[in-house]
Amino acid sequence: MSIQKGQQVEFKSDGPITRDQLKNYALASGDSNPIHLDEEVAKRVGLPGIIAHGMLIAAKIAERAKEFVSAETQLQGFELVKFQSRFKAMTLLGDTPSYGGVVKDFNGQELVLDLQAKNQRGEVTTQGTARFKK
Amino acid sequence: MLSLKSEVGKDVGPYQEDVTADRILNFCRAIGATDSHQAPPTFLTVFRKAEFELFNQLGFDLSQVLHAEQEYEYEGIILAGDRVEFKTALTHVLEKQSTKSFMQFLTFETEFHSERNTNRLQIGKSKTTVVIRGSI
Repeated sequence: MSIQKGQQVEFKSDGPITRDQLKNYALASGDSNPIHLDEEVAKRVGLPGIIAHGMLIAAKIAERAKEFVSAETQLQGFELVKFQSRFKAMTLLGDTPSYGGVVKDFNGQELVLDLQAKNQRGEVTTQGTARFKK
Repeated sequence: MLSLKSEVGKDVGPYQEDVTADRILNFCRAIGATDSHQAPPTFLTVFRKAEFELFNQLGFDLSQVLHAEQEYEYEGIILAGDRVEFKTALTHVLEKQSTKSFMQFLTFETEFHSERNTNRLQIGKSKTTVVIRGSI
């Protein structure tokens, strides 16, 4: 079947956000803001608890987009040229986000995916747009 | 909190950082990426040193900053062995004032180049929008 506007990018999850994951992301990314690592600090600045790095969630949205493209034979040779993410709500330690969306546009040379991260309550925490070109 | 409008144009850098295979691998593992032969799309976030330095020069620290939006445009990929050069500027300030609070949306733009086998390659651009809040 050929790629069509409106086609779903199925939502997938890789499990809950863990302390280890945030610690590893802090080390790998260089973003050691304590609100992602230390509950006391997070609460002191008015957060409900430790929150995930927004960019970790964005990274997982981008990976979902890449996975969608690499699974479609029709999209071989398409490269990511632009990726945008907008942070709408916090992801808390222990939340289980899933990542997916819809094909916003496809014309054979260019593909635009509208993506989201949703938490276990179905709330959109992060929006993403990925533009690929052949 | 003072208005930062007069600071538009302020820039920091260029800085250079070496990209090792381990650095890419650790980032891939941390985000759950399976393929680590090239840096993932959001790997550019590791080069925020100039942006953090600008935060500092503008008088606020990381814990006051909320990340609102992040945009990347890609012109090339990053591979292990690259030396990445980046420079960040404050390009836009939007102020929102209510009776109780004063918020500023700051946009920082960074340009990335890579040195690979003595070639200088375009990697792309990033645009980071953060919100800082202050009481009057």
